[in-house]
Amino acid sequence: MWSALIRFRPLLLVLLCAASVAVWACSPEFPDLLFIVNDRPDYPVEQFARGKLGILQARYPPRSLYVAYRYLTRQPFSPSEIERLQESFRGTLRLREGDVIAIAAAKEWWRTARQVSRVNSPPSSPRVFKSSDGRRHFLNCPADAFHTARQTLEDRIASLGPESPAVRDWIAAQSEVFKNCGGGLSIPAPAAAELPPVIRKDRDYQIAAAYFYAGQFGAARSRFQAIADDDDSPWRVLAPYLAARCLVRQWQLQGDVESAREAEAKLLAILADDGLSALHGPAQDLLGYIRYRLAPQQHYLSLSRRLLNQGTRPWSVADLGDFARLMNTRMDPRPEDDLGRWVQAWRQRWPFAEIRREWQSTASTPWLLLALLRLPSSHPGSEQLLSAASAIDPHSAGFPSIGFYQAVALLRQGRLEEAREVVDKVFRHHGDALSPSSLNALKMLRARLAPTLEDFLKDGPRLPAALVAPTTRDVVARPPGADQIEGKRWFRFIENNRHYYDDDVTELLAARLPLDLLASIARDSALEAHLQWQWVRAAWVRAVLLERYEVAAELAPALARLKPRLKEDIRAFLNASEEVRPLAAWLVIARNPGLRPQVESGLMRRAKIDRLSSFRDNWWKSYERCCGYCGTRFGRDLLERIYPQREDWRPAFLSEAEWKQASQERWLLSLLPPFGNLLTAMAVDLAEQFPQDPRIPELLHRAVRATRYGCTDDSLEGSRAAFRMLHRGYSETEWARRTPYWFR
Amino acid sequence: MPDRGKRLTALATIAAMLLGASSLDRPDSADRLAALPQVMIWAWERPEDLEFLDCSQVGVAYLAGTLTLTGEEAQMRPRFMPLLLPPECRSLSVVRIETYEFEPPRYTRHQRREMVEEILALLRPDLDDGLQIDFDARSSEWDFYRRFLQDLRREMPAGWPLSITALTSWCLHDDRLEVMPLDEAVPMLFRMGPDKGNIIRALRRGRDFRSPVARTSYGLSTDEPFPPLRPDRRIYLFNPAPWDERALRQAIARVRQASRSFAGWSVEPARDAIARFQRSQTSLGPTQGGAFVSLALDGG
Repeated sequence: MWSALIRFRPLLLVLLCAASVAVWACSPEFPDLLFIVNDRPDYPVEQFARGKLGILQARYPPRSLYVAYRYLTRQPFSPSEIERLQESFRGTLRLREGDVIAIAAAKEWWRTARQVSRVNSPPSSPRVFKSSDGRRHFLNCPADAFHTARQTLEDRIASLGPESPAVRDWIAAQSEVFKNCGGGLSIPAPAAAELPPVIRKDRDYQIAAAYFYAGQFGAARSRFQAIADDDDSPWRVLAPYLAARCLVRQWQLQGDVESAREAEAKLLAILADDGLSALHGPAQDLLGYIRYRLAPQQHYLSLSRRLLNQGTRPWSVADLGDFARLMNTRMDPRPEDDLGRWVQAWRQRWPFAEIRREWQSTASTPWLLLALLRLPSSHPGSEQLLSAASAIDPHSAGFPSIGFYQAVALLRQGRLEEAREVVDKVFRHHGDALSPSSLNALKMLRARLAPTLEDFLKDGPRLPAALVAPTTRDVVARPPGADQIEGKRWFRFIENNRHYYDDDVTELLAARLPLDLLASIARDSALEAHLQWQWVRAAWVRAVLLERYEVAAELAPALARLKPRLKEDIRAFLNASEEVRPLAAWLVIARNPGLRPQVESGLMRRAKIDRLSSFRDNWWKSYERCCGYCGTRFGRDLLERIYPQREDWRPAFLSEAEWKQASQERWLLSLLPPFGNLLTAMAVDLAEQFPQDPRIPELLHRAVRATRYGCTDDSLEGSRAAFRMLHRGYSETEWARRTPYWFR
Repeated sequence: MPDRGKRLTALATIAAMLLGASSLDRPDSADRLAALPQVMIWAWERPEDLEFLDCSQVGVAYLAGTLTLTGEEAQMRPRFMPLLLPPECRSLSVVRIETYEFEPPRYTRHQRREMVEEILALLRPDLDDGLQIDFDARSSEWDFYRRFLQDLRREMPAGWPLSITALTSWCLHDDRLEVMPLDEAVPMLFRMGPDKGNIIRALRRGRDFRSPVARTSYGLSTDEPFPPLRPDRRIYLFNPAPWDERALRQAIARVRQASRSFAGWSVEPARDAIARFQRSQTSLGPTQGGAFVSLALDGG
C-alpha cells in the first residue's frame, strides 16, 4: 500500500497542509448523546432537590446553585419546599414550555367546546399569541385561561345539563372572548334576561375578559371592579386581582409606569384583606414581578431572606424565578448576603483571589467548593484548600463535588495516587446514588487516573445522560422516567441500559493505542457486542492500513461474527492467498462504507455497514476523523479540565515500547489521504499488480464511487485515474457500464 | 419502467409549470422582489435595533416565526424579540420551518393546511414586502415541501413575493427548484456541511446554479469566508450576533471585495474544460468520460 501512495505524493501534501475545520451543517441534523449534562442537574430533579447533589458543574444555573447552597450550608428543604422546587424546575426544563402548553390548552378547549356545542364553534382553535407592535408578539392567552374556561364549562354542564341552550350560549360567548387572543376586538353581547343568573354573571366576567384580551384595559378594569363589588357573582373574589392585572398589562404594553404603581397599591390592598386569602399567593407573585422590574435591588433583599426562610412568608416559585433572573445579571453593587455573593461568584466567574478571600473569611463549605473549582493548576495556597477538602464529612451532600474537584486539583499537580484515593472514596460513599452525569464525570476522572489499561477500560462504557439537538444544543430527551414524551424519544435511539463511549475513550485512548493492544481489546468478549464491534472494526481496518495482514486475519472471524453481513466478504479474505490478500481486504473495505479505523463516541453510524449513508458518513476522512455528518460533541468542559493538554497526553500505563509503536503507527496513518483518494490509489495499484483478477473492475468501480460518497481532497487524480483504468482495461464489464462518470 | 417514471416526472413538471404560469401572479411579485435593496440582512430571534440602517441601500429579512412540525401538528411560535426599524425600510418576513427526527411529522394534507393558515395569520402585508420560507427539507420531505409552497402561493396576497432559502446542493445538482412556485431561492453559501469543498470549488470554476430562481441572490454569514460573488446578485447577510453599524459596514466591504474578486477571475467556461478533457479521452469514445459535473453545466 505504501508504495502505491508514493505515486500520489501530491495528494499527501494537500492533506498535510489542509486545516481541519469543524463546520455546522445547515441541515439535516441528528440528535447526539450527551454523557455529562453541564448546565443543569439530571432528571429526576426530585433527587437533586432532596439533596443528592452529585457533582456540581461550572455552568449550573442559579436555581440549582440555590438548592446546592441550602444543602451545603445544612439548611435542607421541607417537603412542601421540595414540591415548589420541582414545580420551578419543571418550568425551566423545556424551552418554550409556556407557549407549547398554551397552544395545547387552546386546542383542548376548542375540541371540548366543539364537542359540546356541535354548532357555532369556530373553525379552528384560538390563537394564543398577539402582536404588540406588528412584528413582535407576546403570549396573550396563557394555558390558565383555557383551563379556567374548561373547568367552568364542566361546572355549568353539571348544573344545567349538556343540552341546555344556556350552556350553548355560554360556549358561544366564550368563543367570542378567545377570538381576542390573537388580535382584534370581539365582545360578547350581554346575556339575555331569561338566561339563568349564573350564566348572566358569567357573561359579565366574559365581557370583562374579552376587553382584557383585546387590550382595552380601562374597559376591562372597570368591569372587573364592578364584578368585585357584586356580592352575587361567582367571580367576585378573583376580580380584584384581575383588575390589578389589567394595570400590569397596561404598564407592560404601553410603558405606563403609573399603572404599575397603581397595581402595586391594589395588590397590597389584596394582601391586607384576610377575606381574599385565596389570592394572596398570586398577588405576592404579581407584586414581586412589578418590584423586580421597578426596583430590583430592594426586591432582591426581601427575596433572598425569603429563600432562606427568614421572611414573613414562605418563598414562592415566582420568587425563585426572580432570584434566578437577578443572579444571571451582573448586580451592581454586588449582593451583600452570602447566598447572593456565592451564586454571583459562581455565575459571574469572580477571580480566584476574591473567592479565596471569601473562603478564608467564612471557612464555609460553599466557598471551599467554589475555590476548588476555580483553583489554578499551581497556586501557593492550594495546600490549605486541599487539606480543608480532606476534612469534609464523606457522607455530606457536598462531598461528591468537593472530592471530585479536589481530585482534579491533585491530578493537575501530578499527585495521581492521592487523587485516586479521593475518587475511590467518592465512589465508596456515593457511587450508588449518583445521577448519570455525575457518574460519568467520575468515571472519566477515574479512567484518567487508571494505573492499567484494564482499569481505564472498566470505566469506558457509560450510560448516556441526555440526547441533544446539535444546532440548538437543547436537551431533547433524557433517560426514561423523565416524562412520557422524552421517554418515547429516548427509545427511538437508545436501547435500555445500553452503554456507549465518550470522547476520552475514543478520541484520546483508542487513537493512542498501538495495534497490538487494540487487537487485544477487540478480543474481549465480555464487552457488550456493539462496543466490542467498535474495537474489532478499528483494529481490523488499522491492521489493513498498516499492512499487518496476520493481525487482520486473526481478527476477521470476530468481524464476521459481530456483523453477519460481512460473512461472505470475510470468507473471501481469509481464503485469499497471502499474495492477493491486500486485494481481498481492500474489496471488503470498498464494499462496506461502515468500516473505519476509529472507535466512535456517541450514537455511532446509523446506516447498515454495507449501505452508503445519505449524509456522507462513509468510511473516514482521516485516521482520527470520520467523514460527513458523523456526530457532534458537546459538554466537553470536563474533558478539557481532566485532559488539559490532551494533544500531548500519553497514557501512563503504556510501556516505552508500546508508546513508541503507537507513535510510529499514528505518524504513518496520519500520512494517509482521505479515504476517496486512498482507495483510488490502492485500486489503481492493485489493478497494475493483478490485472487479470476478476475482482479488479469492481474495486475500480467502487473506488470511483468512493470519491463521490466518501471524503476526498482537492485532487482530481484518484477518481480520474481509476475511471480511466476501468474503461481502458475492462470496458466490456458490467462494472465499467455502471461507471459513466468520475467525480471531482 | 424507468422510462415510464421519467415520462411521469416530465408530465408532472410541465403541469406544475403550467399551473404556475396560469394561476400565479409571478411577474408582479417578481417585480416587487426586484425592487428590494441589493443587500438584505437577516434579523433572527434576538433583540435587534436596526434604526441605523440606510434603507435606500439595505433591507431586512426578519424572523417572523418558527413553525414546528410534529406528528399531525404545525405549531407557530411568532417572533417575541423586539425589532426596531426605520419606517421606510423594506422588509421580508421569514418563517423558519423545523422538524425533528425524534418526533417526525406525518406530512399530511391537514398539516399542510395548518401550516398555510399559521403563516397567513402571521403575514403583515401592511408592513412587509414579501415572505421567505426557511426550511432545510431533506429529499424525503421535498414532495411535501413543493405541495406546501404551491398551497401557500395560492393563498398568499396577490402579487406578494415568495422567496425560500435553499441548500446549495439543491441549486447545483437538482432540477427540483424548477417546479417550485417561487420568485427567489437564496443559495445558502454557509454552514454547507461536508459538501462545502465541492461547492466552493464548483463556484470558483465559474459554475452557476441551475435554476433561474437561484441565480438572483446569495446567502452569506459574516462568520465564514465569502466565496467570489457574481456582482449582479442580491446578498442576504446573516450575523451570528445582533447587528450593529460596524458589523454591517464590514460585511458590505467584504461583499464588495468578493464581487471584485469574481470580476477579476479568468473564468473558463466549464463546458470548454470538459470538452477539452473529453478530447483527451480519445480512446474512450465520444460519449464516455465526462466528469459528473458536466451534467449540470452553465458555463462561466
